Amino acid sequence: MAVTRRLLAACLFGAGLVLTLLSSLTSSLHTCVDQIARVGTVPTVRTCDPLSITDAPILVLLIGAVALLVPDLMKHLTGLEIPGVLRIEKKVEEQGRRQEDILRLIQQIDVSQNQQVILTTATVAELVGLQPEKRRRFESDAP
Amino acid sequence: MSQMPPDLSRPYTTEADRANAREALLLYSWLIEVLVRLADQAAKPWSAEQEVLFPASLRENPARRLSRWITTFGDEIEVIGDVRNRMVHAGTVTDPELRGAEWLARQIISTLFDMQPSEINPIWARQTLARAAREVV
Repeated sequence: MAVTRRLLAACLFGAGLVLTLLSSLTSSLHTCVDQIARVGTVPTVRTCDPLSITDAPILVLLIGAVALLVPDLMKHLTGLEIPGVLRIEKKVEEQGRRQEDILRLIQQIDVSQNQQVILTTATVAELVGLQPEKRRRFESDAP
Repeated sequence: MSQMPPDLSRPYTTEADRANAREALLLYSWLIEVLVRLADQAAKPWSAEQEVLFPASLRENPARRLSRWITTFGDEIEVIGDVRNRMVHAGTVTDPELRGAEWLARQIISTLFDMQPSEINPIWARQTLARAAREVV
């Protein structure tokens, strides 16, 4: 998806460049306007110029290309940390990750403690059952 | 306080009962700890005061009896210590653990001193602990 988007943006940039070059190097693709003549008998005179970057077709292509690259630009800008804005966003993300790590750790401790409780309860129950026999053995071993 | 094994599945009915059991377990486990330290000093001959800790009716040498007791009831001593440590430091002891550990502590202490488990209570434990602690360097 991102590759397609970037390819399309590159095509739009390329098209803009090709149009500008064609317009500059050849006599086609010019923008023409009628101007009031200051001399002679004809009231208007037609002047033609090559396409510039501010002309509508080139602007449309450039804006389209930039719009397609907005997601990539945003990601890049986050990495650069615009002070006061994107740095806060980054810190919030880091804090979120840290909280997730802490939660995971707490869950692990909880599971470990539960296992310890189960184990101790089982040991206690087993030892309780053994007491009469152990006491008898202890007394019989006495000199 | 009976010699019958306790019903470990039965929870304490009141918070006061639970608190009493906790206090008793603390005292018993402390007494056990002091007795184990006393046994570690067995290389030296025991003083008259140390021997007085044990009932005169016992015909066995107290140091030898204590050593035998630690060997026989090593598992009980360990589990009582575990429950006590968790109760003090983490506060995550369940009623079955508390009831069982407290009962086990009374059993093994009464065996060592040749008494009935019903005779072991926090008052007796506190008095014995005071005497025993004086004898441990």
